[in-house]
Amino acid sequence: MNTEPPTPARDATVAPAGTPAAPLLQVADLSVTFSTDAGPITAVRSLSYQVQPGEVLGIVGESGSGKTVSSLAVMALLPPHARVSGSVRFQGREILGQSDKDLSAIRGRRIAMIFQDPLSALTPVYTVGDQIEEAILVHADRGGGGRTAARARAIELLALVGIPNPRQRAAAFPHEFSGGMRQRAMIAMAIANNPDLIIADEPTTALDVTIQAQILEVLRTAQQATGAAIILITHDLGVVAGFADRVAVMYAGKLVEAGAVDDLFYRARMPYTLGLLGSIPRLDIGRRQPLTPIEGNPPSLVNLPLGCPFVPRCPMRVEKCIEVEPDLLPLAASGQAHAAACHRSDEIERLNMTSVDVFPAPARPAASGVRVPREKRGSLLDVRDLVKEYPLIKGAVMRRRIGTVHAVDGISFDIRESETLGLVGESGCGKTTAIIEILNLVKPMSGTIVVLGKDTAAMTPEERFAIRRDLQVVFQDPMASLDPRLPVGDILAEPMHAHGVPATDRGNRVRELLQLVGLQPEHANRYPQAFSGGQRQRIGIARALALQPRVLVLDEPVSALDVSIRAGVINLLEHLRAALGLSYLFVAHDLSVVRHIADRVAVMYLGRLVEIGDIDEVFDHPAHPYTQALLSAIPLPDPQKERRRRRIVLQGDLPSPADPPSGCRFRTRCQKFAHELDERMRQRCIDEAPALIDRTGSQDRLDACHYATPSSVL
Amino acid sequence: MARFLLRRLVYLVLLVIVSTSVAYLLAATQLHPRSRYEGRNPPPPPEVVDAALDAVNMNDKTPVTVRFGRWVEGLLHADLGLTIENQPVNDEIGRRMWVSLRLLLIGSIAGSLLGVAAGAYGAVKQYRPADHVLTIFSFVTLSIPTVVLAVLFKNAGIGLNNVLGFTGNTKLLYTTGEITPGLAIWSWEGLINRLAHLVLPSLVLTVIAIAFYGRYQRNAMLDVLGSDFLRTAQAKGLRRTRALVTHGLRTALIPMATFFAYEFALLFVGATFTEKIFGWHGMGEYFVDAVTKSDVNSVAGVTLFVAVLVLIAGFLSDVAYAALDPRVRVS
Repeated sequence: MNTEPPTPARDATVAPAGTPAAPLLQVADLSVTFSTDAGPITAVRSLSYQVQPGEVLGIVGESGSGKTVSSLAVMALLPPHARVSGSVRFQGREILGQSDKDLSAIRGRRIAMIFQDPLSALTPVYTVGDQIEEAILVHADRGGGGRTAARARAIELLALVGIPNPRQRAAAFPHEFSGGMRQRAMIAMAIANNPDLIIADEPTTALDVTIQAQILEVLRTAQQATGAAIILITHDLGVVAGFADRVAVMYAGKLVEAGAVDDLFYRARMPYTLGLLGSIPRLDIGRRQPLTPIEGNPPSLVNLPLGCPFVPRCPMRVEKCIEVEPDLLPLAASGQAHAAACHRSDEIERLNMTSVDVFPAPARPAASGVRVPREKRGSLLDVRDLVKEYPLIKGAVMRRRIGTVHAVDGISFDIRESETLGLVGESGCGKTTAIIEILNLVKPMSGTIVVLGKDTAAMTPEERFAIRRDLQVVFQDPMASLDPRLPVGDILAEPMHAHGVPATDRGNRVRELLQLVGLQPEHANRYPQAFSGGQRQRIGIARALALQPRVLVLDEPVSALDVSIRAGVINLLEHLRAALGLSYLFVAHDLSVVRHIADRVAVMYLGRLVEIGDIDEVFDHPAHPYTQALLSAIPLPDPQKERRRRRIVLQGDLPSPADPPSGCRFRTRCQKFAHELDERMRQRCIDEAPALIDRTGSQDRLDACHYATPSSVL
Repeated sequence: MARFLLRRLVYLVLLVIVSTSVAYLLAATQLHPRSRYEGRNPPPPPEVVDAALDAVNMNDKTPVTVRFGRWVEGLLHADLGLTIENQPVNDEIGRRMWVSLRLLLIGSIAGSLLGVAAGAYGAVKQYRPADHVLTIFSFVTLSIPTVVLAVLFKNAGIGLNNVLGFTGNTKLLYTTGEITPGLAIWSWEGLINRLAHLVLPSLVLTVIAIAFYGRYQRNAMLDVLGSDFLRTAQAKGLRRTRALVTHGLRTALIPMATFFAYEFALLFVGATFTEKIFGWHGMGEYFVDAVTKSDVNSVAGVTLFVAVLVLIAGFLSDVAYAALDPRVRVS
């Protein structure tokens, strides 16, 4: 390597400073183009980076940034119609252009890959054990122990990644595993041959946070066991902060910034990186933090214009940016280790600019209602002991009930005027069932729902119809919740039509609504497919606002959106709440978003509330062990904090709501139950279901744990 | 699982009873066995005709309910009644079903295997010349009526015989019947002769099966080709071809299970046109002839036989599906 001429500036590969060792992986000038009907799409554009043995490189980018395509190119696993150019050298050998035979000797043995969706990534018709075995056998030398040895090794690997009863579980099919277990099996398969490099493509995106924490832990174990280098591809800056040694940021198929993890998080020098960092809500800061959204959308990769692809969204653009695309160049002060692709990065460095300096943060609206004490504000929605059970039916012909799913099992909360309640919990905890019950506006199976002072059990159909005006909903998936065959104007006018708003007023209101959510009135004639995800969600919000409701139920309104788009929608929701005096029931699994937007938070676990109270109190001093674990599981986009944090990793998966544990439902996974309580104390958890108890005397802060001890986990 | 299957069985048996009853009643009311005798010259005396029709339980002067009752009573003793020519339907079916099986077995197996292979190959080579050739072949074959296809093959066979000089009694390919009369069935010569009779009809059946299964298998395979698990298999280090076969094709076979289950249960039912044109006296020919001869009992008997086979096919398809797809194996 030493005899090679110095790399030209154009190929400034991002290498950690002072590492004379040969890189494990050297990607140089890698480009990937797909032909489409609309023209060639260059998904990856002259990408260059290096990975040293044993290090963790995080590649961060939003959807469509080319991060997955580039990693598939490294494995030479792209579909045949992809045109790949450049060079990928692994352990000094060129990968591109190798025969399938030679590649298959490297894949799985030297380079292993972990995919995003652990269900579709495992072959449904073979047992998990067989699939791991196959990974071992395909690389085994002839006579190297054969099937028996491979089986033993597969079971050993399953044990290593933390699958209980590995011998039995090896005989299970993928569909018999939970999402977290499947991803563990995937990791077991990846480390089966002690690879030198593991490429993990969004390994935790499809999983809940507590399971994500488990999987990251397993990945760490796997790295220790194999000593492999890891390329961790993700959109989640938090995951990268705690896991990676170096980080590379991709935008529109190119690396725009790369460097050591601290450099990138604390000294970002490219406006896009700064924008990303500024647009993620922080779990540990909350409302004090201004969110700086990046305006606009990522560019289409068909016929990219000449200049920097970030230009349309960049507040720092100058003439040169439109004409010349900047190369990824080492920064003057930081040397080779930290590079950015921006004409003005030296200026950003000199002035030490942060997100707030580059992206003007919108003024935070002060909600007028906040100043009035909570107990003096009227209650808009009051839910008491709400229960929803589903019968578990078996048999197609002779249907019979074999059990009951306790989806929601006695939850109580209220929402006052100008207040946002965040309802949080992992998938399967019953939060969606709860809001559907509320939106149905009918008498619940048990308990009461009072909306704007009216009990749903006693409502006449007319009252129910009238009250729907005041209680509107925004759904999670902005693609699925808008009729693709209606122009946006009709979508917005439809609720007004249903509630008898005169046709003459509707047109004006539609224009007003579009402006209110930050779209142009001319957009009324377009169809939903003409809009991006963020814009569609704005249309969904506008539709919910059409009848001037008082309460909005927001079901995961930003979870389907990319990070840079998300901030804009969050800011919009905050602005609307203040301007229109709305109250929100904000359902989410992302606690950082909830912390940013909510006044109060209710935490659900397996159909019950485990803790409810003021957002800052609950997040800063969580009392229930589940709240503590949940908060602890969420990675912070702050490498130094991440390194100091000690994570509570919950054991196992969510129990089935058809067969919840006796007593406290959380006890089977509870870290306190497992490590802190003695036998007598545990018995109480097993026998007695804890009620929501008020410990402060304010009636506004309750938790449901026999042995609650508030402590800070952030 | 056993209870579930039992319940299914009850339903299917009900279905068989209903369909067979309807078939019998339709045949008994719409077919006119009497016209067989009335057309004769000189016409036989009515008493003779009545006696002949009574003997086979097809006299239209007997109320249809009574005839149906007799037929059902016979069924309870596993007796399908007599054909219009006074032969037991049981014997007729018992003989002809094996003829159909002998005709169909080779063509069906070859057609299914080649169809799966062609479909999978076409999917892997999507939009390449090989795929286009297979697609055109399938559509052309499927759009030609079986009669025409069978006649084409028959004529081609005759042409080949002539070109190669097989104009005597011994031919390279035979176009009529199962075996040349007079040959010992189990002799070496007899077997070769049988095969020479089988080539052309088997080819017809194979070509049709390839066209049919090829299309379905191609679609099933295309669904699997973009899947993540196929990528995982290659990421593990499997060669592309091996990954395509052991992970891709294995999974893409699942939706084909239903087709194959029906195909193999219905081997006994025969192939009407192929049998007719190549002169095999199988079940397909039997059914068509029975209708033209106004043979009520034969029509009803064949319908019952087919219904039972469909029932078995339904079971086979469930079993095959469960065998191929662990996701549907429910405790």
